[in-house]
Amino acid sequence: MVDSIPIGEKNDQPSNGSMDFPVGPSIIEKLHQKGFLSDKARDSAVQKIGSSLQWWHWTGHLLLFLGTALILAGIVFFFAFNWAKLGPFFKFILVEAGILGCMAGVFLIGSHKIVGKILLLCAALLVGVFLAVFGQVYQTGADAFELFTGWALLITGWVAVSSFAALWVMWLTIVNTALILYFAQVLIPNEIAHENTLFILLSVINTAALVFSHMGRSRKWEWLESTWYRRLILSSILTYLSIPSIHFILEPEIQYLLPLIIMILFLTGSFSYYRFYAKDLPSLTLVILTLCILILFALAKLIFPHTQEIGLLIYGFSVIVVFGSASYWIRETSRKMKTVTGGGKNDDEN
Amino acid sequence: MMKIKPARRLTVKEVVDHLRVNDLISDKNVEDITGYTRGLRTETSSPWYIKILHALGAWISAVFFIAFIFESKIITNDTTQLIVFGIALIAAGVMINFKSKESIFLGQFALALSTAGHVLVLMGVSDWSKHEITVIFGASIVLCLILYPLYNNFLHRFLSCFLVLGLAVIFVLSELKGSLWVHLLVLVEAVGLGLVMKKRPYSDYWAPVFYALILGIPLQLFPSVFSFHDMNITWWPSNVILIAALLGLYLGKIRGNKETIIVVLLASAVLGVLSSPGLLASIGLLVIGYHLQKSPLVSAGLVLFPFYIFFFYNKMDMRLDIKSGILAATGLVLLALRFYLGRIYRSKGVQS
Repeated sequence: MVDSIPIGEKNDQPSNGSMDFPVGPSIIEKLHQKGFLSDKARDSAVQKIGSSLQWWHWTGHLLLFLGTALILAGIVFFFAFNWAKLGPFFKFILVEAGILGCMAGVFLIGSHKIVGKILLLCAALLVGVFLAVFGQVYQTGADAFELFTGWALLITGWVAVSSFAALWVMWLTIVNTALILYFAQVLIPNEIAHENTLFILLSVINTAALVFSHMGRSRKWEWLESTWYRRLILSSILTYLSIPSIHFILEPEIQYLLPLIIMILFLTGSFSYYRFYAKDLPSLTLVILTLCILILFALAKLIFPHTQEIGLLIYGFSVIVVFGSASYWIRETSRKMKTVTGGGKNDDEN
Repeated sequence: MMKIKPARRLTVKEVVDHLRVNDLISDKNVEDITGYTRGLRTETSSPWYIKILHALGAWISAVFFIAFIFESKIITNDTTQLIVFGIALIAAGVMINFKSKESIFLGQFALALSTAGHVLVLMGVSDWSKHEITVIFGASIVLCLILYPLYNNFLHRFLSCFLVLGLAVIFVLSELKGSLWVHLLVLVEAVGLGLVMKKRPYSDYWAPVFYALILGIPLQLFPSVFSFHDMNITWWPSNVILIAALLGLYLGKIRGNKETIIVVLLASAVLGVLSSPGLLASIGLLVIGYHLQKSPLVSAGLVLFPFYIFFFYNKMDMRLDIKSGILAATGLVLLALRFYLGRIYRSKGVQS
């Protein structure tokens, strides 16, 4: 039987009473200021919620992240300084030794531990360095998209077994970059494909990643419980679809119609999901913000060609109405969500 | 085998039960807390992302209002007209905000008017003083001091304090010159932040000042990694001030156990000696953000930290091989500190 010492983490279980919501130092201090807690009670409460184990967990992660980032930066600077002096053989030896060293560390420590995961991330980064060195030493003449594509393919296996959200995000970024470069360097200059196809493909790939992450979260996969990377992916999808949509709004050309239709479908789907199923207010806010931006561009197209100075005043008021409506709706939705779940504030609302 | 595993945060009820068991609160206190927390569930204060929507709406509409004012020639670039009209807009904003109560639309309209008014007043003052930064800075302080009690809105108070801090650093670097004034500014702001956190850490009235300082100090330290007006500032006094501030934070507010505090302090000192004050300010932002469970502050710290690392080492006037050695050595020290901290907890029967 494994004993475990609990340390702090968010509680997203629905709660039943007025005091059954997660407490933080701010609420303790407010209770103290209101006179409900004495100084001694306040200190004891702060001690209880802010146990040293919580701080170890967080401080340890921070020191690991910072220490690793600084060492990697040092390695990059070292390479940059000595690049011209190093022979090709030595360059390869260094990078491959780095990869092997990291993988040895992962094998010894275990990929389930955070140190192991960080080493796997470093190994994945060094694969990219290796490909860059390879291309430079052998002057293969490969395009940049080929480097990124090769990088993504080579590390796919590690990413799949890592159970590490940061590594998945890095891999997705490399895939996105490879696709963008392929379109920019090959397909668009040779008029084989339009830029809209790129935006649609990027949105499809990232939506697949988003759906996967939500599925994992609903199955309580621990490594997918964080929210930052889901919102990052959602932001990227909304950005990719917004660019051609705004283009269509300002200059209606038939080739931009399909991305706009996909955008409308995505907004509808994500709105329904985040409002009624996931009940994720920050993600819902991103969706609403995107809708506000599209509406404002449409209003600008409507107002400015037909009015002069008065159009500026009308548009100013329109901005207030649009953002005000969005804020009002989100606030009311937030209240309804709290009433349904019986919860108080969580981190995302502070 | 004992291991640390992530678990849920404690609830208010569990903390209250803990206090009851230890005879630290009475039944009356429990009733009061129950009633208060019931009110917290239905309170209407807005999450931070709604505040950002408000701010965006106000700024964008203010730009169009100002454009309308100039395009329709309601006022010209005359100094008196700019200042008088600006004050009129600010006054209108104050009145409308006072009447707005829970109305988001009126609140946003008021903020837009006040923002536009601030821009016009500062344009007029700049014109009148022939772009003297001292006068512009003074005007921003006057506006902030007058409007802070009058305009009861978190966002407005935060933005006006933030504007003062931004102009303060420009004023110090442009007009006062000399390293001493920069460090004095850092000292005054660090002390101000400490006072707000000590006396009224979570007061609604002082929260905008707190947020303006905690976000403003790291941003004001940009000149430590960029050249500004060819000034040659030595930054180590600001490093000392910020290390002292972090020490005060750990001992006064965090109240963690001794080993954690020693480790975090050593890490901060190492980074402080080998890096820029902006880096220390980012660490402060991270620590305070985590202590208060404010994810936007932690996120801001996580963005600023690598920014300062990158630009500080990029700016250093030394060979790349020496830079690489310093970076790697700093990283090793931090990992060694983590290892030391881990050993302490393992000796207490906990493994990670």
